[in-house]
Amino acid sequence: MLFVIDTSSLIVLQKLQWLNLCELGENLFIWPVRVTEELKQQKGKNKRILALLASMIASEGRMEKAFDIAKISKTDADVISLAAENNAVVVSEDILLRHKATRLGLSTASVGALVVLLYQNELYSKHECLVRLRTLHDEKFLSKAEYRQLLQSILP
Amino acid sequence: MRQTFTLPSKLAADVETLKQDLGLKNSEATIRHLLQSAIAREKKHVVVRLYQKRQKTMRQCAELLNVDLEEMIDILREFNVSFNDDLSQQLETVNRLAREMRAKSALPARRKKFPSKRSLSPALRIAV
Repeated sequence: MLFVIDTSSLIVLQKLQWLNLCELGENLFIWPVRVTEELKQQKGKNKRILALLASMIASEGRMEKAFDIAKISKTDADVISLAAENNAVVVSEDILLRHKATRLGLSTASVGALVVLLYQNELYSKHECLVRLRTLHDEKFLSKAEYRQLLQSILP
Repeated sequence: MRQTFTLPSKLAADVETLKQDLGLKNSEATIRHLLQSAIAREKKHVVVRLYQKRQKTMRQCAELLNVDLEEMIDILREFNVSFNDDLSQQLETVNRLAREMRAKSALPARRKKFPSKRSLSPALRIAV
């Protein structure tokens, strides 16, 4: 299983201080070079993400291939392109980006779904998964209904 | 740009009250301040609506408002916009991937084969 992670999800992980999720498993996450460039442009806000990306072996140089999708920006297209090349899951908080990726037959997830998926693959405990879902709800990344739906998916 | 317009008396009274509350020096500065904040708020509304209608990506919305992606995410939270209106579909993906991972990690099942009589030693053949 491989995930192509979008800037939006990296920002959410940074906000929640969950960047260590990206270090779970072995080379579980990859991202386009343009994501790194985008993070660099944002006035030094993303030093921690950039440090993490730099420390991960799977970072730069693997990506970059044009993918012609109308009406989305170059970075969005790169995220989809990289996922298509690697048969990977697109992790993004952007609904339209996920929608486009799904229409191209790719699997997609937001951070909420990613948290459940990592739990189901035994990368951390149920307690930790529940705490993370609660935090996503408290921080307004999940509505009450969405939070309940995710809880139902992991509770027997 | 110079614009001349007439204010209803109720609105003019509100401007006067706000001028004092905001500590601004005159009505003109107050109206300018109010216009700026109203335009900024309306622009956010319009762009958030475009995002909700799936007409623009998060990045495009950020460009329209001239903010970075992080600020755009905060604006969407401020407007209580769902990040997961496709959650059922995501959960289908999660369950499928989890099944695939379980199948991959499971050991191949070994079929227990009962030995045929011919393959057994004579002594065992009798016992069987």
